[in-house]
Amino acid sequence: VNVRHQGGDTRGPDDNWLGSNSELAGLIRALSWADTPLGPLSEWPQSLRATLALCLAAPFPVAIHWGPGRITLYNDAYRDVLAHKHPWALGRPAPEVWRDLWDVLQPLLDRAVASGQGTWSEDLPVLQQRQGRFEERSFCFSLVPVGGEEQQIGGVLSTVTETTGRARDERPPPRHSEEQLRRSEAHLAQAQRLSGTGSWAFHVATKEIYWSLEHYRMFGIDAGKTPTFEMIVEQIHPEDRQRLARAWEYALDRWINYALDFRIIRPDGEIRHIRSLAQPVWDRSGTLVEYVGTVIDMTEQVRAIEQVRQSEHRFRLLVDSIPHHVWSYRLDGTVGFWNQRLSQYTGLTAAELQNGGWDALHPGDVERVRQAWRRVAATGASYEQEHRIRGRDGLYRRFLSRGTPVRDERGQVYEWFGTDTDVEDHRRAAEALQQAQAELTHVTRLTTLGELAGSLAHELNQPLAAIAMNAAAAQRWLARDEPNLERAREAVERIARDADRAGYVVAHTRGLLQKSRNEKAELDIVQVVRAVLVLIHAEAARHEVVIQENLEKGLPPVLGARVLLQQVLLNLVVNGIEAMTAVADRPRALVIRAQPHHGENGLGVLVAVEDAGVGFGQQDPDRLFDAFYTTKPDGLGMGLSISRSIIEEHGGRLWADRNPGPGATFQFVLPGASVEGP
Amino acid sequence: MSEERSIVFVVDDDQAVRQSMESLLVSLGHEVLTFGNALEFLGHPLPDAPACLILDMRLPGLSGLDLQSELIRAGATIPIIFVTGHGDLSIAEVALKAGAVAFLTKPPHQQRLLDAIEEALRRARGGRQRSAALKVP
Repeated sequence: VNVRHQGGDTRGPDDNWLGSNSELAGLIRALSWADTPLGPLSEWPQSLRATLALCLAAPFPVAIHWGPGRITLYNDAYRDVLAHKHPWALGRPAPEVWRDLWDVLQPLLDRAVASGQGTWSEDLPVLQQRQGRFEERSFCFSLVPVGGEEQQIGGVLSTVTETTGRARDERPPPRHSEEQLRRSEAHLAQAQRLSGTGSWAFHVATKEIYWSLEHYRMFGIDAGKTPTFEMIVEQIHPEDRQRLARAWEYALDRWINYALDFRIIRPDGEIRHIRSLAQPVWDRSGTLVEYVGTVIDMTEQVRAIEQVRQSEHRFRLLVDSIPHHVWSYRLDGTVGFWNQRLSQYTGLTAAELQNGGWDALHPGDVERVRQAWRRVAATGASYEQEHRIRGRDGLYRRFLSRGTPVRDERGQVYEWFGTDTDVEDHRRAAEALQQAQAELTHVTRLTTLGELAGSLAHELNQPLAAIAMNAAAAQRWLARDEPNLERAREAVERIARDADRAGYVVAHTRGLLQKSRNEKAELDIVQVVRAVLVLIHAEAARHEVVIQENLEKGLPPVLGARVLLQQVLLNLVVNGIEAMTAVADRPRALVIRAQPHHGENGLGVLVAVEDAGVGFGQQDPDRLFDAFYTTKPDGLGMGLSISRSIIEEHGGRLWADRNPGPGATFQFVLPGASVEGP
Repeated sequence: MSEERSIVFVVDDDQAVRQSMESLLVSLGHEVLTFGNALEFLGHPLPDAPACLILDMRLPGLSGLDLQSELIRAGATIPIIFVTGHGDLSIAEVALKAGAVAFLTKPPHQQRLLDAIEEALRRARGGRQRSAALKVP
């Protein structure tokens, strides 16, 4: 209830019943009751008016708590009971006025109202503040219900008798009271010392200042010295003086409590951080007597906070100066913090970043990254993925994103701290290098072929030349008038020898060519697949194809020529990627599966390459494997034909199927190494 | 006419080629001397009789072209027929410009080889007659 004092004399014609010879009558008249549950003074019921008149006329402390709100009215004698709460208590609900006694008073009040009979309390302790010191007094509250309109209980008349003296008399008289006082002062001083709290009082009229010992100690002043206002101002840090002066002026004007933080410079030059709490003290007549308060040394706390702030600042500086994106990713999918570089690069708002920053991720990478986070979240493992992030310029760059799990005290992972490293230039260089290497390999192979052909020609030329000339010689020796059979026979022998030599050259060369390619060994098909994926990685990325591996563990080994099988797989994967180059309306996904296969000859493996490409329409799938069949303008059509013959040479089968959805699946089965060949 | 005795030198690192070449040329009535490399040939005195040289291009040590230029520098006028496994046009051009009678690839066509030898020996005889005429006017 906000009751405001009204200015001027507002004594109306209708309030003569209040009388005029008491302070409270004046105060009651001056309050704007219209804002309270009691309503305007002129509309108060007769029962209240009569009770209040009785109350104001009483020479001993009487109060009324009226209406369901128990609004408090009282007489002049009651001011002593309220002490510092006067005149604030006027017009306020009883639970507010007697907050500290309410536990006891409420049941008594309620009982009086409910039963319509008077009741009283035992000695109740009331803590009062007088001239900056608290003192305890005891009162007996006698409560009488007062009838309101229409036979309802309107309120409670509370008559108060002080029992302080009596209560004290009942206690044993204090012995050695001076010693007790000294002891309690010593306790207080010790408590102040331990808690780093000093106390003070400022007497308004005399401008006298009182400091406790701890206050002197805190400010570094000799305890004998009398504190003055000038001395205090002198000690306050110059930067804080003006602010403090304004605050004091404001508080003294309004007689209000205050809490102020400031710095002092002690005589020894040390700067301390002080918190000062103060409240005004009124006397019985309601005039401000003094301010009392405490000073608390906050230096350690301030320094600790400052250290945390500095450490936080250094962390920020560090994180912002790292030439990578720095972030933390939480289990709930939100981003805990990010550095400036990340927000500046992406141009995303704080809200967008907080939600995971998915908007900046390349649409082709989103699903893969989500899956990776799901895996990592389930296992609490480290995170590592490469993906494309859109810059504020709209261009995507590739980043290597790495996160390390952070665990709580129970060892549960709840967050990842990580970085994104820009690998775009690196990857481009690597791709260019790979491209160059591929070209070089091609050129080398051609060169090697050319050299091989050259040396083969040379190796064969010599015996062929010898054969030709020996044949000519033999003819000549036989064609003579006297045929020289011996010479002819020698020539023919040399022909046979040279032909053998040519045959040897051819056989050796063929062996050389076949040796590395066709040697079979026990192979783990998963390793063969992985080797191909490594080779094809850049090509897939260039075509924005996401390759999903689905390679089962514990597959039986197969007996095969690694290079040939890799060629088959490479062929199928490249076909799959190329079949999807025109696809724009769905993810370009290539699934590679390796799983056990139970064939006629026992356990083997099945490898399938499933694309989401254009498929092969109504075409007979088997036609694809004909030599020279191709749908590509620059293809020879040898790939699938050769692949099928390689697989069949390994005792397996290679075929193609239409997918239920878009695209085609090429798959082959191979017998396990322990299975007898066909 | 009384056919003068003529000598055909063969320089080739392949023994089978040397043997077959020798057999063929002997069957045609030539006197034949074979060498496995250029230095062996240079160490042999050139005869007074008409002679020609059948020279392989690729040889250990001095190559066929090296031997040709060495002979020109020494003032030897023996006609040369190149027989090589490598039909490189640029090398053939160098050899022919330097005065080679023919540049044949292996295996040599029999008739072309025989024609080249006839032509080489004719040049050898002509050279000797011209020098004899100058010597004995």
